[in-house]
Amino acid sequence: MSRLPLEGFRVIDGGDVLAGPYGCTLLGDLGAEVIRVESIQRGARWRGQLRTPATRPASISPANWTYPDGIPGERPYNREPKYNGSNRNKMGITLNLAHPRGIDLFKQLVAVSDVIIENFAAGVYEKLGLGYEVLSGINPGIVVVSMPLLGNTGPYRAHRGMGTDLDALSGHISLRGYSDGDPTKVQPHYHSDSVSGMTAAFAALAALNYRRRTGKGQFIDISEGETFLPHLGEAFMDYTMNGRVGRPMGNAHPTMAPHGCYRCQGEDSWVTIAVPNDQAWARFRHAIGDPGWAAEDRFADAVSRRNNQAELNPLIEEWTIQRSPWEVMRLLQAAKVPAGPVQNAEEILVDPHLKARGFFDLATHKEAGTHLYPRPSWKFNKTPLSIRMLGPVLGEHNSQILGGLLGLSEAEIGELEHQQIIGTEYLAAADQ
Amino acid sequence: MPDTALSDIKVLDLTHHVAGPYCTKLLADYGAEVIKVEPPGRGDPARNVGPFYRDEPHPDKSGLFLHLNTNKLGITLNLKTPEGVRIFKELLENVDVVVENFAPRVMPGFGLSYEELAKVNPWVIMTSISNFGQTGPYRDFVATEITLYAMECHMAQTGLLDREPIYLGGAISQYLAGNTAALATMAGIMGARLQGEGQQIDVSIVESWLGTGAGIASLTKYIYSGLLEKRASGTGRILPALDGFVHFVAAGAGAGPPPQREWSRLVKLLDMPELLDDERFATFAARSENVGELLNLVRPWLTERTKFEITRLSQAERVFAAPLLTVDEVVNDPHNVARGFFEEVDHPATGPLRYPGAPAKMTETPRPPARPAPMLGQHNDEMYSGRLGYSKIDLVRLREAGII
Repeated sequence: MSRLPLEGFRVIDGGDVLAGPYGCTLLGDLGAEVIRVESIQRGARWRGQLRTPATRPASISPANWTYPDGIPGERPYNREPKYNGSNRNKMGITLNLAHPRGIDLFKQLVAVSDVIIENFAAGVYEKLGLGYEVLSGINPGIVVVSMPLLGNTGPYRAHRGMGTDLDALSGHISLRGYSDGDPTKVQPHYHSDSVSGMTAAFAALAALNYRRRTGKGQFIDISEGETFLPHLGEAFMDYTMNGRVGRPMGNAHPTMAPHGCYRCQGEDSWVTIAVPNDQAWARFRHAIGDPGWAAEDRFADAVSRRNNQAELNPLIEEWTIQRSPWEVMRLLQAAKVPAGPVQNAEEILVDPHLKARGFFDLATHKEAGTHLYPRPSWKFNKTPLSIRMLGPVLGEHNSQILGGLLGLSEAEIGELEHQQIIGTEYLAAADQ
Repeated sequence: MPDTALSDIKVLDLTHHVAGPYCTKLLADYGAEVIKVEPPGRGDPARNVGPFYRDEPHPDKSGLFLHLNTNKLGITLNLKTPEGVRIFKELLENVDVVVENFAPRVMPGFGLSYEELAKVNPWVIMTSISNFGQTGPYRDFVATEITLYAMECHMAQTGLLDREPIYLGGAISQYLAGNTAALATMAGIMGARLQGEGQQIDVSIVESWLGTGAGIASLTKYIYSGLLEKRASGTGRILPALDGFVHFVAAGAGAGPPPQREWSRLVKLLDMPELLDDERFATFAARSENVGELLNLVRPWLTERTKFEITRLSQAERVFAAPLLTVDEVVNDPHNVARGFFEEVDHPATGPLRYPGAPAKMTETPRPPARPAPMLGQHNDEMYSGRLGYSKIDLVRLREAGII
């Protein structure tokens, strides 16, 4: 098999920050031709804070510069790791959508595309004159996925925020954390952005499946705030069934014990252990050398172990603290007890399992050098996926798309550059 | 009934617990026919996992099971028997997809590896979800949610620096894998049409996490610069309000509006124009460096107001703010109610209950009202007699032999 699953489909990545673009990346991974539309007037948020030389002194301090070896270079926005890694397998152009010619060119792209995914604030595309009625008038088969923070309808549709705002709105923060329930101790995450992206991509494919039968495109409204809620399903069900409102439990578990995170040898070194049932407990006891305390009645069954976990956990930690997390994992996994080290990025880079799986690939970026990058994370056995290209530099494919795909002449493209409708370097306006 | 997006797709669903069932739930919710295959007697182990309706353990009262298995048909089949495998292959002939999330040795152990499935149905997509993938030295390792979260890069970043890292609870990693597997499965189906043959899709829960936007961000940051994301002494983004907490970003953040615009809006919100001339806060870098002092100015403003009031006032000035909600507040939130996100589903064992719905509103192919999760073997007659032509006597014999 030589063709990737989504070969032949063209996707416009018309959004910003992470959720929409990430969903488009996944479609690109699967073989679609993805064109990301940015502008030289407005900084793409995931390209980092440093845009023009003027911003540098005022932006994040050098200690936090994530550029290759900490060096921003001439165009730091082309050297941002998270952008380059998460915008793989897509092309990039710039268009000033505040200019009628930019809008006109965008519409020409829509005419030859299958899907648009955008995650701007509700109503932005309408205000640009790119509402669904307009786009479907140009291309009746177009699938438009519009994914504002809280969707296109509802009393809070105008609310703005980031992925971490969604963490607060989902209820998840109230369900996790140390058992004292203080939410200021745990950093909020932006997991919703990735879940939203994959949901947008899934919905787009579902719509293409329908289009195949009927020829019809459609408009899909997704609230980023909703995509993650089903992932907390059982917590919501406990409320709707029983009126119970969940609370954080630290690393404890409603039924399993022992269940937690235990200190190991060395600094900030931890292993997680979960013992799901009494059979696993018997194997666990044997694996740790049958210490006397483990045979006591107060730990004999799951309920007793849960009730006595305040005594149980330190006893287990006396054993783990003498070993590395990986040693604990090996010993307990040999006994079929779920144990796994807490790993950071450095440790993941040398994880033997991920190495064997070929999870990282070496790739060279036009302006950022050669590095390892995570590959697309599903493995298709007949059409293996890969990093065909890394995140585009700003406006990298202007000529290829405007000239090659839309048929503009070199002179016309030159004129667009002259009028700053397209370009490859941020204007001072991008700092505002 | 209006047509649905996936009404032409048929799925044979061997999944259990969370990761696999969430994948097939997404397919079912958007109209695919999903036939959930459970072992006779016990069924999917999730039936025995709480929370239970009225705290009564019962195979049709698990909130987890009910939520995950809406819109699916349910049959029983014992794949540990040759006759069960033979019947499975009969069902396999007419489906587009098989989804399973067993430990990697299990399907080949049944004689149902991808190669075996492809002999019966060359177009079938086999989606296999597992903890660590179908290959590699950790392939046969056992894991629960905390194991999986620990082994990808985020648990190391979660919690306080001088205390143990904290996991996210629930089944977050498993739902994520199901979500991404549904996308890959749809692409697989489209690829099979393109190529005239199917394939197997290997989804690892740990790799699904590492492949998220946040995973890529943490990994590439370290690879490029050697900087590691670490736990901190707390977060400045969750701040106390009069009646709870808010998510409020005082110093500005990389993914928000341009920093100076964000800052002037915040100053206007707080009605502290003198801050615009304050050297400590003049630039984004300065505000980040002096965030402690900045928060000391912001905290009193927040603690005098409720979380909903803070949100309303802030959003009016286009300042990002969101209330920290508890699960009851989420279910009853006016926005979620207006959008109808939580929908009522009626099940014989529980009566009508509100369930989380599914997240995309498709205008041409709206989702029909959700059908309840199946009782164990509920659709045996329909599938085995109706579709495959087994007689009533056959079904009795199969039941007695423990095949169904």
